[in-house]
Amino acid sequence: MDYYKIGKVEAIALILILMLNRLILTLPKNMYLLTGNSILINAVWVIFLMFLFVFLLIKISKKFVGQDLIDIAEFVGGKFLKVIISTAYIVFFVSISGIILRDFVEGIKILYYSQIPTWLLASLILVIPVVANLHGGNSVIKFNSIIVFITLISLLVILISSTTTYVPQKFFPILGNGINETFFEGATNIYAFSGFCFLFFVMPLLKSSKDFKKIGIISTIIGSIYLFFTLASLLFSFSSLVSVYEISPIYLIMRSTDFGIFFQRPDAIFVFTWILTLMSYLSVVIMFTSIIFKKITNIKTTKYLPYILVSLILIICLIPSNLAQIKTLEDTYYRYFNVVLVFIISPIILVIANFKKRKSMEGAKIEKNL
Amino acid sequence: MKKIYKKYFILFIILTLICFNLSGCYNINNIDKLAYVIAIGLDVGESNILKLSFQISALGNSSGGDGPQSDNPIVNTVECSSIDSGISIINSYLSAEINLSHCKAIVISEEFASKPISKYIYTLLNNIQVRPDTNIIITKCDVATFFEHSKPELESMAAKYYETVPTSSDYTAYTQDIKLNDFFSALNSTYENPIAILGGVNNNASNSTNNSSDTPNFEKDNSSTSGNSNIDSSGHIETIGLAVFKEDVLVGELTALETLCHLITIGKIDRCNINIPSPFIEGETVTLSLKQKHSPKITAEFINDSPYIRVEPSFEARLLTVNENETELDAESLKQLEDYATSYLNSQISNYLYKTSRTFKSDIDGFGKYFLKNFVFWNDWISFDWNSNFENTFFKVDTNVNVISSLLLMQS
Repeated sequence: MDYYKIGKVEAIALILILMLNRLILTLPKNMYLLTGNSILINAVWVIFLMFLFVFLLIKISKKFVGQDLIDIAEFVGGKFLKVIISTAYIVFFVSISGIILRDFVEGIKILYYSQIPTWLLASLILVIPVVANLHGGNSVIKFNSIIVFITLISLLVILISSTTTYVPQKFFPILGNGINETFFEGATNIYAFSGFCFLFFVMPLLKSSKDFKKIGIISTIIGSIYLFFTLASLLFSFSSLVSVYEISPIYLIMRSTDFGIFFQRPDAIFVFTWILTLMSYLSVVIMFTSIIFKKITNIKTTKYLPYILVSLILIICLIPSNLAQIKTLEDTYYRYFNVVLVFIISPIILVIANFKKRKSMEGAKIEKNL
Repeated sequence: MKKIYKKYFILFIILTLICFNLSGCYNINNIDKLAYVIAIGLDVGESNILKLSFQISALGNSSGGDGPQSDNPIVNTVECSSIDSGISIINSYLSAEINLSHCKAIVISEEFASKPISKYIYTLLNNIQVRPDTNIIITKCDVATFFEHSKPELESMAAKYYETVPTSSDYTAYTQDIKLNDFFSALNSTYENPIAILGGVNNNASNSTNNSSDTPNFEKDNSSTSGNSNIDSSGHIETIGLAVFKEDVLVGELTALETLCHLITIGKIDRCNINIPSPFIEGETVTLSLKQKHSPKITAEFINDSPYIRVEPSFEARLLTVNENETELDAESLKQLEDYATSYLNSQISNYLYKTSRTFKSDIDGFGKYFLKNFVFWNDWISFDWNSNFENTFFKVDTNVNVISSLLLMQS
């Protein structure tokens, strides 16, 4: 697979794609169910933590220009750590994609395609990522940039139109389900930013490594704004119905929002854009997984990897036997695996790498002085 | 050579896809195989729990620009144990499959709504075909009679009629455009209770209970409700007033004036007319056109552990009733009119609020949300149990009416 060097916009789109997929699906609902009415305070807390994380990442990455997490892991712990981290990320990407795909397919099955079997719908969606990846990384990245832009616009339309139904008093009771749920356990809601794990891998693809700082900050700002306003819409408009509805809260907001007499049932347009978003996300995941796999195996070509990865995603997608299992997986496995891998283990590796680099630089300096 | 094969293969795929897309959808549902329901009716059954009625659009000639529908929709009724079993039974009877995606109204009889109806509301909203913007109507007569008389006078399509009738609230304020989603939200809410549109079949005005000689003339207009209005056009459905629920059980109804007070309280009055006793001539009535300046200011607090709510609505008004024999509209007479209107509205809104609180014990105005700020944790709020405490609430209404003038004429 060939990759060309990407600019700022393309990199930001790559980082935002997973988060947008999660916002469209059940992420806001899961966050709300944990914290209750204190969801906005929790969002501010989580955004604050996310900015700390991004600034730390930017600071550490300055010493590892042009290297991704896998290279840094190799620098810290040799081939062993490189393989461990790579495998963890491959498992993470493939399993999460399978769960997200199943969640989405079940949603559109309820809405439009109740007669079509799950495996067929999932397979049809997976065709596009395979084709996109066979055409190379360039097509994946360019397609993703367009789709992210469309999704951001569609979400913005929904969020703005829902403001007419806002009940601001729902901001109270201010601490919702409790202090622990808002701040301590609530900190695990940082998994909303799980898409930012692509920040670890985007550095070698950049045209200019100086852009990394801007990319990190801009994508965090955009992600934070969308997260905050999605949660605000959910809280102020439909919080009493969140636990009742099975379906995506954003779809619920859209279905209940009045777009005037001319646009009576615009949900199909939005669902169509969301299908494209999912396809784009799967394409990006397969692309990054192929890059990681290539690094640990040293294979000559990744041409046939998309077939294998897509098959794995399809198998994982079909494992849960009902929606309750998917929800449990999302709220336990996805939340904690994500937090541990992306927000704990990976930064620890970066910090250790930073110390090791500093030590080796100091050693080299001493040698030079001697 | 290989490239040519590849091109042929891609061409084959494209042609196959086009063939599948353009060929007749013989095994897919289409308009001929579907029976589009305009309204669903839920009533008390005689031999079973539920009497389910469907008002179905009769597909006919589409010429004339009114769409493929005749003036007389078909009504089918079935006695069943649940909505879904009723649909299955009707499907086996009809030559087409019931489709609810164009359903405009859910009509529930007063008798049926007097028992818990939440499971039916949940079932309807669980159905992907039922739109959340479907109106919910509680009828004072039985559903069969309601459907039988739902023949619009100005519309040729019953579906459009159901769609436009609740919008009269924009200029009359005698009803409210309540949708299934609003009802469901209130049903699941911890700080408000649901309401529905009150419907009924118009009895001849001469039979109206409002026509007692003791009742002042302006009160006769204000106390109208569906099925009990002063409209002299028997045999048609009307939607005046609101049906009040305590959780999922019907507990009462609001008259036209009380509905107006409700809309004032929640700040959803666009424009409306109100009749008040004339301050200038005893026994006469004056009509004011009201425009709510903004949503009323609502202050909620606890005084001696009892909820206390202060409602401060504010209006701009114009005088509609003019009389050649009366005084000029100078500053003094306008002030007098303002005082009368203020006093009248204060008294009516206060009566309405105490009726919902003391008689119905149902917070249909969502006052509970103003008390949320007094609680730190959600569990504290739930333990407080607003629905049980609402009946202890005290109200103070402080209306501000600013009469600007009449319309074109200066006299009143």
